[in-house]
Amino acid sequence: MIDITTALLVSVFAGFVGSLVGLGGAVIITPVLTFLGLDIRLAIAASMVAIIATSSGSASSYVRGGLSNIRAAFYLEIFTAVGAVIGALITSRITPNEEVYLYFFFAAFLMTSFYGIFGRRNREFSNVKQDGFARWLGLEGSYFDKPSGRTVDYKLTRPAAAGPGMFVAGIAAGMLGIGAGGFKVSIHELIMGMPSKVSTATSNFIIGMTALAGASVYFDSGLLYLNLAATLAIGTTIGSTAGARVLPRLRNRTVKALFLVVLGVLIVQMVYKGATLV
Amino acid sequence: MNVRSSFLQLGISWILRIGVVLSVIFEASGLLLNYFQTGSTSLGFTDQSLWRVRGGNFFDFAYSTAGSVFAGITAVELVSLGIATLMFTPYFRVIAAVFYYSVEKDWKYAAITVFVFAVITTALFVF
Repeated sequence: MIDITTALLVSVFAGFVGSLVGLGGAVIITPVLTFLGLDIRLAIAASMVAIIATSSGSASSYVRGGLSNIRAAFYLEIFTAVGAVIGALITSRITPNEEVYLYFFFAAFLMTSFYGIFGRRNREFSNVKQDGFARWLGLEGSYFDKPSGRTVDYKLTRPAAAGPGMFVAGIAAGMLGIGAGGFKVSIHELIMGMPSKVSTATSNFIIGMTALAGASVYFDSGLLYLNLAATLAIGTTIGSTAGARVLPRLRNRTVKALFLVVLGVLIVQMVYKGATLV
Repeated sequence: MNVRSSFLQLGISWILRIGVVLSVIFEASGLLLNYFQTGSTSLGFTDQSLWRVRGGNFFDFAYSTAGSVFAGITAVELVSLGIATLMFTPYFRVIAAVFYYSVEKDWKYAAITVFVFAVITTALFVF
């Protein structure tokens, strides 16, 4: 039987890692609690609530420090929110046989991201040429980079291409009960040319809104236990608040390396889920 | 960061901060109260458990939580209040952005944030 202390320790760790790489932490919480004997459906339901705590805990610092790009976040949330709703609908309509294809599609999507980010792992700052639509949306910003001791101005590009990618991220979030930060960070960096730390901070800002849409499904499911959800939420809040103090001190390439490790875990999870359904 | 965007950043940051602090206070108080009453730190998961949410959408949950709080505070109600506060936090940040962009007459982002608000509200009502 899982007790409060165990759930708290797991969630503090998940919140800490999540705030550093732009994830909600469900990717850590769900498999660990399941491994410790908890029904996976209960773990997913409670994790969805905990994701919101990770997001709010870290984003409060990131937004104030200028690391989260709020305009990009709201523009991208259009696609993620719609995707999350459709993902939740898909879950209730499709058969396990059809679901297999989606898991393998998600795995392939993440593998492509892994390859793309791995190729840029040593790039500290990116210099992108802004397209017309990005200029129209005002997608640019600046933040103070502590490791280099200077203010970094950046511009984003290709928001039109990022939209469909974020829609896929939303579907993954709605279907799997995750914040889908792994998908989002990949799109921010590979398509829009977002600096890694801005990408992490913006993803943390977005996942709270996406998870909110997804979490509502679990209120009606009978799978949500408030004592577990509250324990995980307290833990991820503590972890993400601590992580939010660490991220500004890290270099972009360190954040990328951490993200690649978590992305690898996520790919294994997707392949495993697909394989167990075959 | 220009002055205008800093107002939005500060506003959203404070909404998040207040929401997080309040939710943790409510959740931790409820769990502690339960510990003092039962002496147990185990998390039991039975269908009859008082901690189990028994259906309805999020707004049903928030409404019934608000109603039961006025009837008297128990451990379950404190935790419910914490979870409801936590979930309203990202919701309020969208509302704050709608308000900000509308006041600033930035109609492009006002439309974007209104759309996001509508989708999330629909999801919270329908599911």
